[in-house]
Amino acid sequence: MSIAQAEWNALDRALDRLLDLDFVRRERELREIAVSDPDQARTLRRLLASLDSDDPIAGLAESTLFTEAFADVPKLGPGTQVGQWQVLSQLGAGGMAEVYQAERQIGDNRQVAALKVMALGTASEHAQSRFAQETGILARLEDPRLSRLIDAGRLADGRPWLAMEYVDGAPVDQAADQQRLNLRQRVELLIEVARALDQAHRLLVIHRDIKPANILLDRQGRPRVLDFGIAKLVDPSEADSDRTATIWQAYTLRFASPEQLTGAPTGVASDVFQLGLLLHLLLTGRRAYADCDDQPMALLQAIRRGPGLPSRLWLNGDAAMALDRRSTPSRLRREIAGDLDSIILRALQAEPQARYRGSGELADDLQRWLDGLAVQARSASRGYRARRWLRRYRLPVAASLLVLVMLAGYALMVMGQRDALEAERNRTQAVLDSLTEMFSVADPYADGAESVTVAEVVQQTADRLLGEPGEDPQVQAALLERLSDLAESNRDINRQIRLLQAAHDVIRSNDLDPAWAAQLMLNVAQAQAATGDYAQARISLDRALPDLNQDDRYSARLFSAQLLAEAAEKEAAATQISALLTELPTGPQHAARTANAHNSLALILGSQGKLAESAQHYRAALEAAPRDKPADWDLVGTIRSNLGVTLARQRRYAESEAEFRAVLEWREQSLGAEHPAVANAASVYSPLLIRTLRLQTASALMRKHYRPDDARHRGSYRWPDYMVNYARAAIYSGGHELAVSLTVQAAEALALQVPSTHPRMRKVLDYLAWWLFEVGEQELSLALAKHVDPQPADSPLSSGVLLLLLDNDQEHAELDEAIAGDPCKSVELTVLRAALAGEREFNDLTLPDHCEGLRAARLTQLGVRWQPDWAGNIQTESYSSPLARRLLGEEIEPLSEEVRQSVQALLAHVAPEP
Amino acid sequence: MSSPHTDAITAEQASVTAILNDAQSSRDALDRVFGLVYGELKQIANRVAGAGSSATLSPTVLVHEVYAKLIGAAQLEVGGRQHFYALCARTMRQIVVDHARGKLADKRGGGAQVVELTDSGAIDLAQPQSMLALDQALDRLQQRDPRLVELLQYRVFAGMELDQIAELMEVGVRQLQRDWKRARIWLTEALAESS
Repeated sequence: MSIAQAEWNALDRALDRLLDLDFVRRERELREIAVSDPDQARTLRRLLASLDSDDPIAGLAESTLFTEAFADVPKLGPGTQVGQWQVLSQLGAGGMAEVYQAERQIGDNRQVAALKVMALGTASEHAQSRFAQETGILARLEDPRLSRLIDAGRLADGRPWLAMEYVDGAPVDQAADQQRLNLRQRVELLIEVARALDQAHRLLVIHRDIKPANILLDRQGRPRVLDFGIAKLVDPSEADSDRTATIWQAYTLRFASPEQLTGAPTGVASDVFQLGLLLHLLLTGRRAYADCDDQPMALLQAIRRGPGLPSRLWLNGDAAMALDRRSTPSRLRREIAGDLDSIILRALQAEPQARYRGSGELADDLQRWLDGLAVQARSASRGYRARRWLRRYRLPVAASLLVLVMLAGYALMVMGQRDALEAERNRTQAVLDSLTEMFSVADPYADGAESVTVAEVVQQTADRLLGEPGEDPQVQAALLERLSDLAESNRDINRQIRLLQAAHDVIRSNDLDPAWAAQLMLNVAQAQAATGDYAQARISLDRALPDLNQDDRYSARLFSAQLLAEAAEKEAAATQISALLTELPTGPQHAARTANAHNSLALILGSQGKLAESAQHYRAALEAAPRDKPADWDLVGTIRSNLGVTLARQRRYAESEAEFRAVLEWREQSLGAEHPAVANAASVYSPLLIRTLRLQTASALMRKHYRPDDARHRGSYRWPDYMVNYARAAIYSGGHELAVSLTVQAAEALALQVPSTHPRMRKVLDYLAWWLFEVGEQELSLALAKHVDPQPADSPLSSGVLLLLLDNDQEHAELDEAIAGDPCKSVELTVLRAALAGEREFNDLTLPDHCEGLRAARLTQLGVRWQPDWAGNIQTESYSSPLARRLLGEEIEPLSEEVRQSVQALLAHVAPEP
Repeated sequence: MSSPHTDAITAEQASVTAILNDAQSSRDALDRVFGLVYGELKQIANRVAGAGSSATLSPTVLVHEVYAKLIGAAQLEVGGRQHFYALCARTMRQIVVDHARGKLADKRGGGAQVVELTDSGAIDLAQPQSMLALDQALDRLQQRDPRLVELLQYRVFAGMELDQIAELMEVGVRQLQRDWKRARIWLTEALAESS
């Protein structure tokens, strides 16, 4: 043993502690250990690093040695004679049997069959006669969709064998994906399989092992069912086996019915269940119980709980799977949601008698779905039939619209019953809640076309509701409020405001609950503030105040303070929020409100430059924030990101980084790497990485989360800003062409949002002008700079470009004066002037430690000294400015013609020749 | 499927349950169960496995089949379950290692063989000598911390998930995740020591 036990113990204890820490804290701790015991720190680093290398034992279960150790069954070699059959080759081996290709000569004809040799032998006379009886029944199955039994017998060692019609094909799930069958074709396939099974069921033969490997798609594209009834032939519990009592049965765990798992009698219903599993797999690409179907006990429990809605499997969008079905994730979700969901769930009921009564009934229901008729699996409610009717006549309506039609239909029905009972009202509420929920799970990042439809439908439904006087105002108002939720989730603020006002008016004019009306008016005020209309928001707030209940009053006070802050009365706002915080009761119902209040106060303090206090309140907000619902975690993420920004401003980079990383990692784990909120977290994190000159890391992070062609991002408000951040990282890490191209795309996307004179657009163009200057495209840079007309005081980086624009001493003097208060920019200007004039030595110049990292990086490359304010804490990565390289006399790769043309096209758009 | 045997427990199985439930069982008794588990594992594997059908032969499936076969519907106490799974995991390790040893003997006529680690530090488990090296590394680790070896055996040879193992070993999942990382670190270290 190379390490003494005492030392081993010490290392082990240290490992246990370190493994519990996140990356940043672990690094800090390791550095502390290194101070007192550098050897131990080195060893710990080496040991921890071994976790990152390939896991030496992960592959064990797949190792051939492992398999071999458990498999000593004698095989039949080619040429072996089995009855009249001669073995040609082995086709495969399954859980119950080995399968060989074999042939026999009948007269002049050669017949090929799949020869199945069972792993289990049953030797007794009784078993043999039963075997003959069973095979006799199987031989009568004549359906062309079934692979027929041709011959049977047993080997010398007692193992039975069966010769089955040989089918040349591939397992149905793989074949369907290969041929990219769409949803309807897949349903048609399953109907064929179910009809074939139905034929066999009529002869009282049950398959009992339905799974993709037993359903092949032959060369003609027809499904063929293999191995009918074989499970029963080899089931020892059916035989007179007296050696062991066992619950061993012939089934495949992943496709087992609950009856098989518990050892209960299996009948037709078991086949129906397995058909349900197959349907699930074919439609969604996933097994219904993929999480646990390798463990019998867990699987059984999961079956008893029932699977989730199959259509919900696309919440994170599996584009490849959808492509195999010639569709998109959101379209598939819409198509499966509802009827197909219900059909699958009906087939997968844990109780056999709750399923379809036979596979024929399942096939019938699927056929009804194909024909656009109402399916039996769903109760025939009025709204449901309306939706069905719509589908049948193939109106070009989105699923979301149908939800709303259903909602309206249901509401009108309830309203029609003027004397509806209280219980009925509650039920209405429950229905509305669930509908709203259905809506909120719809992909908020779906493309724009659908959103327009939703917006229109919300409006039409609202119009219709308001146009039906005499309906129950209570229900009417509740519906309008729900519709406003939908408008909000669709980011349609103006419509949301109108709907809230309409709901408010209905309540007021009918003398319903004034606190409810006031609450709606408060929501109106908040929505108005979100549009930037603070004056109107203040008016609405004042209207709401008198009738608010106590809890809403707290929210109103917080909102009132936020309005003050927006009106630049930050002191007053801070005072109000502080007062509110002392009065807010503790307890879970106020947790989110308290967290919000701290967060708002921290924002105000931060904007006043009171960074330490700001950070303190962010921490208090985190302390208070609830963590029960997903929405709570959004709030926590927002607060932590804000805290990260404040810490970075305090130059506490490591702590700031810990916050950003935590948000990023948590979202990535809980939402999946593809989710836009993860991309968002990466974007908020990247400026810190750029600031501390870790440009490769920043570039890689942005590349991971943003594909420029991803439609989900392009439409989003912040996308152009994120792309500029990406470009900032790229240009100083060797990707100057990428940087220019990204910035052009950012400007193009922004052009869809704002006019070319908008400050946001000017900022993006300002960056683009600078990148072009850096890479030596002076003409393009100047043309853009003239359009942008950068102002030295607020322009992020254009002093170099400005130099090109200035043409007399007077203007140069004005520029010097304008940036005199900024020593970083002053040094830069001095250096650039000199460098452009051919000077190369700047060793006597020193930059202040707080200078912006990218500017400083550029200048240090030219020889200016600089000690960054994070020195020693953070390992910077290599950086390289194209401008600095050019000034030092190096050649740099020119922009490609394609990118130059995209710049020119942009120029023509934003700055047309007068 | 109305066999009277379906839900019955034979006398032998009942005694297995009794032994496993009795944490104070003598070593002999446990060894007897070990033999039973070994026999069942091989027998079930022979039924389930065919060449190249590793998909159906995951350690998890094997262990669950053995469980179903030997324990069936009988109730096992926590201590008994732990004994059972520990036995299974140990037995499966034994079977794989015996097989590797036999294979090596066939090939080389006996004699030890040094394991070469690849650049990444991973070992090629298709090589019998790697399996033996793994076995020795586990033995070495056994002297340092037997619980880590128990954990490794559950995970690697019985194919159990961490949350199941946590339940079995009666520790929190978070602690077990750390233990699992420690186990991997020290096993890698022990493997490196032998090369």
